Amino acid sequence: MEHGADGAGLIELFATAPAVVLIDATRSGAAPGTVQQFDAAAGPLQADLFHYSTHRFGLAEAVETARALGDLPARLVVWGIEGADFGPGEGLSASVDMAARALVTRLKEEMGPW
Amino acid sequence: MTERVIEVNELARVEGEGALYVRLNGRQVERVEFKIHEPPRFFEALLRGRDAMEVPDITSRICGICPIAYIMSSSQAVEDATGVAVTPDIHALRRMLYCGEWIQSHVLHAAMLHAPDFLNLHDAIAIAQVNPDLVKKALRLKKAGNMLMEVIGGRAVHPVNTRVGGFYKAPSRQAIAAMIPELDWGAQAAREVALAFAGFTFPQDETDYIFVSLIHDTLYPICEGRIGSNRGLDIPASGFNDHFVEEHVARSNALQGRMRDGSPYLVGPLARYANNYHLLSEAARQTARDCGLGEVERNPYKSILVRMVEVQYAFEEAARLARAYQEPSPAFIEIPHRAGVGHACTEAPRGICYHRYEVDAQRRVVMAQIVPPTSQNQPQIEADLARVVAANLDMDDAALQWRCEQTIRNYDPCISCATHFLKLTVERV
Repeated sequence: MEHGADGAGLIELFATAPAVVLIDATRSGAAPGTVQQFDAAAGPLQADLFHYSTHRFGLAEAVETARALGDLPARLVVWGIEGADFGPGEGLSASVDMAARALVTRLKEEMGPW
Repeated sequence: MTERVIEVNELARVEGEGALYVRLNGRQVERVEFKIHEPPRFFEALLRGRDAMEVPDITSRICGICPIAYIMSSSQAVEDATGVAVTPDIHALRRMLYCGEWIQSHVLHAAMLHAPDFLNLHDAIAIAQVNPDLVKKALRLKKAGNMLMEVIGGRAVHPVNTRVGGFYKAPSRQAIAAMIPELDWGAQAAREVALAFAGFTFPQDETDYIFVSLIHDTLYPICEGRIGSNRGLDIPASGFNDHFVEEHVARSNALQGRMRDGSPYLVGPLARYANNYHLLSEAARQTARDCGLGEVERNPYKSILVRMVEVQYAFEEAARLARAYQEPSPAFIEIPHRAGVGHACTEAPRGICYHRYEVDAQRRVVMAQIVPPTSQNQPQIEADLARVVAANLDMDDAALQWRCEQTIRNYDPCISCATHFLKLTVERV
């Protein structure tokens, strides 16, 4: 499921499944295309990794608000792919595109047990 | 003399990228600058040469918080340019859709972004920890706003069912009627949130604002009416440029709006409320009274209460329109290929949003002018900041910075729209 725009909407989606995998872009200073995995059910997410707007809820704010409200799914894994360029423009950079495709392939293989 | 500088480079809980710089020389406020460094977006230029039918879909992309404001102002302006009047049923459906945007935007700002200022909390996550019921109620209210957008507009953000002349498809009466129970719940829940917020401690501050908003004879204006003020202004949208100007200042990528005589003015909930109090529903006026609001509210910090009164009204109004709903038939009016100049002004959640288009005989846009609310509020925001800083010089820098940011958030500024916000520096010299 693709969910754009408003992170607050994620909180509603959390209620729809006992196990959730989220994928989002990160901005941590790591090399573009770097993939990181976070077990959000186990502990708080670092808000500034997924920060994209000063106005809206980002992914981390949605997860932490849901945690405070007791609305987190039992299993919640967050994958972050480090972005290369957050400026205007079309398409993904080669390193991010390659990392995204590899992650999708890996998750498809791992989804069996879910 | 002691020099003090307060500088915030990335203002939080506002839409877009902005900054604040305050420089004090002893007890003298030397400079107050509200800077917008969101990059310019050139929407007006990229509209030139486009079919006027494309304008609402392009301009709606100016903002993900208030796309309806851009869709409605641009659609109505193109209709004005081509000599088209929509039917009352189409207009009523537009008004119901616009209620959804007021609800979404006001609830997000009041409950999630502005309320933390009054609770000495840094964000809505902290509110969720201390008052989960409030956050759950706010999320449900916002979702009800999304529902209106989805049922009428086709999706919650950047609706796809709207067009110049009306709608691609009229929602069924059953789909509209199914929303009524949640809309009725929302009106009551909004009142409860307003009453809860009325218990906040509000900073003491008042000034004699020039309140500019739409005005109307019978309806609390949303997407209809003339432009008016508490100084006696009463003009059609086409008179906007005769009374208001936009100017460029070096510190901001957003143009700044002023009255022709140079005065700053205020648009948004405080202005709409002051100019149209008598047009609110009796229930919304009762909530305003129970919150301690007068018929005119000049304390900008109480804008959070006025927003919640407007949320209650928007729910009541959407429910009233839903109960009276007739599927517009046809769902839209055809737009002819006709040259002309058109104007429109509607009430975005943050204030009036003025559009002007010049269209040629092939219906192509020759010239576009878009004046969003935050551009108009910028000079008044700076005037508010100067007044607030001067009145609170004894605060330490951290407290003064907090108060300044709170003052800016009174306006729910939409910086992305206006560049078309906040880094704070307070310098004490």
